[in-house]
Amino acid sequence: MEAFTGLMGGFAVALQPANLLAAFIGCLIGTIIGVLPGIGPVSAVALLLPLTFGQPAVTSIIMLAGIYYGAMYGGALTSILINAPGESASVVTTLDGYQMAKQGRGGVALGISAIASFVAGTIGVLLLMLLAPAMADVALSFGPAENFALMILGLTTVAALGSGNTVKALISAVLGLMLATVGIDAVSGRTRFTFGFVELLGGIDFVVVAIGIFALGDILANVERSREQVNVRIDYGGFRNLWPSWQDIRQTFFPMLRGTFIGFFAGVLPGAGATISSFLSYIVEKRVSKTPERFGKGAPEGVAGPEAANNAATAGAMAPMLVLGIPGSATTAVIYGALLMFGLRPGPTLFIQNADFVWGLFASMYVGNVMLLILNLPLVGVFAQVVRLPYPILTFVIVLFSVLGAFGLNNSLFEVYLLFIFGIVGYVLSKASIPAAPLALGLVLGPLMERAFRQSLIASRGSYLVFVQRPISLGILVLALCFMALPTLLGLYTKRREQRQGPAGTAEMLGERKG
Amino acid sequence: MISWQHSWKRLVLASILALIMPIIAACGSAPETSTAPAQSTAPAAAASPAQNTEASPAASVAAEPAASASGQGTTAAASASGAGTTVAASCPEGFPNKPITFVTWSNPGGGGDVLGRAMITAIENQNLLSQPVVIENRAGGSGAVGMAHVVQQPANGYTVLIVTKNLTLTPLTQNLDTDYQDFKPIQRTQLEPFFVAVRTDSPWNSLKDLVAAAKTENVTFGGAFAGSTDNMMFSLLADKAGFELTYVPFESGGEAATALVGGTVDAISASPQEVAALVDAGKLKFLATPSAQRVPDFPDLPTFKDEGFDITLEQWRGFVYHKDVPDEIVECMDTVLRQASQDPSFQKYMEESGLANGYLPGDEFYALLEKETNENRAFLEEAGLLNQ
Amino acid sequence: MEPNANKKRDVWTAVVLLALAGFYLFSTFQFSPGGSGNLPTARTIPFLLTGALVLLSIALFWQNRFQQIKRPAALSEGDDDEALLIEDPSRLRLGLFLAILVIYALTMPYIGFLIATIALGVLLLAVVFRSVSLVNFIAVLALTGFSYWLFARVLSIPLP
Repeated sequence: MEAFTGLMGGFAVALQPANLLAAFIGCLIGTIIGVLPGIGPVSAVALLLPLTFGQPAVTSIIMLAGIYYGAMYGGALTSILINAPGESASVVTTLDGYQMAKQGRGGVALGISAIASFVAGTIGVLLLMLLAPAMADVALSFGPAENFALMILGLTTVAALGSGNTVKALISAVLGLMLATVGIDAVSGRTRFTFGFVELLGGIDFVVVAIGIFALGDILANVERSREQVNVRIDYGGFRNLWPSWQDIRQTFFPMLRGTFIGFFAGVLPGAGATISSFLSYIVEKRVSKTPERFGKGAPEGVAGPEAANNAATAGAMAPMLVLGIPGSATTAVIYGALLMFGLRPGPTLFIQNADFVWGLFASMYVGNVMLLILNLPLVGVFAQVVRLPYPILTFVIVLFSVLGAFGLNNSLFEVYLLFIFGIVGYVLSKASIPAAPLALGLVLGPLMERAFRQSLIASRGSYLVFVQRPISLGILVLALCFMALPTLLGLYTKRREQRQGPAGTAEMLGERKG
Repeated sequence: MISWQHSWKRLVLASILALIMPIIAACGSAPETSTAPAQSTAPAAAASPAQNTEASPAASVAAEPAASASGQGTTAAASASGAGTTVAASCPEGFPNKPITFVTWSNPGGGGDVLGRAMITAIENQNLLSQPVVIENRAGGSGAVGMAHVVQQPANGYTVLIVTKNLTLTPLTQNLDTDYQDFKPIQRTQLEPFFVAVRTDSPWNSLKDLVAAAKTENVTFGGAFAGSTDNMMFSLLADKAGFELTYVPFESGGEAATALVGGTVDAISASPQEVAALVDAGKLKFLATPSAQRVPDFPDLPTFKDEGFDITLEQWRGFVYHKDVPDEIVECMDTVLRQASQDPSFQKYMEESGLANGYLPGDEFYALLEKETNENRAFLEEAGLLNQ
Repeated sequence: MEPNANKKRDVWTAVVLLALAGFYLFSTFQFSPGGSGNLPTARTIPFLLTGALVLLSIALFWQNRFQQIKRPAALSEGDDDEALLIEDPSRLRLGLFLAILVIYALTMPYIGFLIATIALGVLLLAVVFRSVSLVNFIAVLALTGFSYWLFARVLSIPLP
């Protein structure tokens, strides 16, 4: 019950008017900034850090949490409305979210994503309070071998992403992995594939590739279409389609729950927790669904699960940061830096010496979630109408935001040039009907996977057995194998059954796999 | 990063804009919400100074100067008078007349980034410059991206580069057109010690134990990327002690520490700040430090020299200019940074991050860069990492 | 889209991918591998990826050959020509769009963000979409101004 009283104390702090206001302003600004695709939660927090100086630590952190959540939501907003994922964790949201927006159900998608974030945030904070110390220990058991296994698990989701053609999905993933090898190889210190560009030494930024391939590629494909075809796209449903109905919420409730748990536990793990969890959540939903064929064509579950997962992953990532001072993700690294600036040292002592602060932080994360919901649900309808803008203006808006986003990454035009190149690549890919999501996943996981692979082998002195000798690594690899083999086996099974009994009753089989 | 008051002004403006945005988007719908945030930001601005009294001691240090700044007019007006008394003597007429940029190759929250931000806060607290200072992160390529960027900027004194030891390493390992000779050092500012850490339950209680074990059994070492200072320290140790080094490079100190606790590696090199929480939690212990002197926070921790290995290495951070920046401006900036370093907020940051004052004036700093580059070249050549 | 046209396109895709794999492999030999003994080097993963891409391209190629055998000549020749050949005005539009983007990117450092972006907006509306109206023009101005303000003032990111 110590946790309970602590939390009550935390809420007492978080609910002070000034702090509530800080949460509100944080969410608001975060959303605005997050709408610019290049500025994801990490850069939003980093850029706006100075705004919070000169406030008490708790107020600042509450505001940062607000900015963070706001920016996350802003990212979902652009993913859904203009197909421009601002960060790797919201790539999956584009798959069904953008389709929904095209069908005039953008408001529904936005509403669902806000609710999913809220549900995930609520449960995530609870889990964090109860499990933080235990989870931090789990994070410690993840060395390079385990990370490698985890990346493999993440990559197995690729097969599920390609709607139909697995070969093309795999090609896309390999292209992503290839792009990921550009830059300095951290293990050997060699420069690879930079072709003399100093800007490429640090690798190709994910955001540039994602905005280029998704948003610009889409625009190019649209520009090529005749005007009549383009106009069809702006067709939207009536007013009732602006908010999610009860039916939508009921339909997506369990995906949200599953997404939350996947997200929280994957988020605890260092590296690409949020991204992997969103992809995992997506394929779990696709596997669980009785109608997997709707995925990729605007299924609300495909928005709810991943959005819940990437939000819960944030809560999960807080555990090792607060307990052990190990920031597992870019965002927690920024928050970690902020804590240090306020003279608070994360670690076991933080919970004892600054218990007020820790509980205040948990409470404020929660308040931030509530605030975001309050702020955004009424605005969902408004945002959703972005799609109603005349197409020429919409195109201009997307180009403008993409350029600004790319420029803002490094304050240089090099990224803008890259952006245009990847726009053309995106167009070519869509002409060749190669899905883009696996490429994004490959790009994110590539460096992590290669590093983990080689680190493990250096430590084991070249013995490949290291991946199966460590129990957790072995477990994850087996899981990955199941993920890969399952569709094939199920396919064989259902085919045989269909031959015997006709096409009915294939869905229950898929229903067995619950996340 | 201008002043407390400016920040709030920006907030108010941003909030108003927040509402204009959707209005543009929706072509004029939802006007009913447009006034709420604009009204409510004002009480927040009024309320938060009052909050300072409740703040923890750590926060109040940061809050106090901000509160005092709020009583003044705009930053520029306020600091013009302040600058007149403190810096004008060393600064050329009319400098600075536009914002100054601190470029760092750290990501936000990284060592160089935090140094830059702490320095900016201190400069503002002391009203040392008549113009604001902004920070710009140009991460990537172990500093290569940041170096290349600053060399391309005009040498007018408005772009300062925050450098680390990478300035003497990256130009050697990468195919760059840039090295330390392209910069004019302003000053070296701080020293960061790093320590050799092992698991608490490991049988080794001193560096000698560790080295003895490394000679007879498989001991795996870890630290930052290949060719980093961490790697160099263990390579030198292996050379001096005569064992074969197995070195696993990691992306960050946190990652290396995780691998150490998880048993993938047996010993790592890390800055105390990065692993402090794990030491507090009783998971790690320190064996020794390659610093020249014992670290004040850890008086019982021997140096490498104490243990009989003649190796001295320290991470440092400092500020440099483009090599063509006029000497008067370099001198002016040196004075500004030195005075800012005396600010209580900066002192507090140094102390809490376990950093030592490593001040070296420009010419001595340059000599150090030259010396270290030569030393590093020898090490990198041996490790096969030198770029020909 | 017509299956036959898709098939043709897939074959071309496979060829392009094979060329890409070749280029990637060539570039892999441009840097030194580093590392020692039996450990993976900086080249190991690129080699694996090249291999994977080659295999997948062949798979894509084979997939289409295979399908052709399964469904021989189900379509008339005219169909796939039509699908491949994009109607002229759209292709022109695409070309113009790309040209404008390139000009935009190249001129921005010289004429500044504000002017370049407004010009981009006007050109896009006028040349690509042929829908210039006062409302659209004002929208372009407002959006450009807003984003400039947001970046340069609020976030202190210096735009060219």
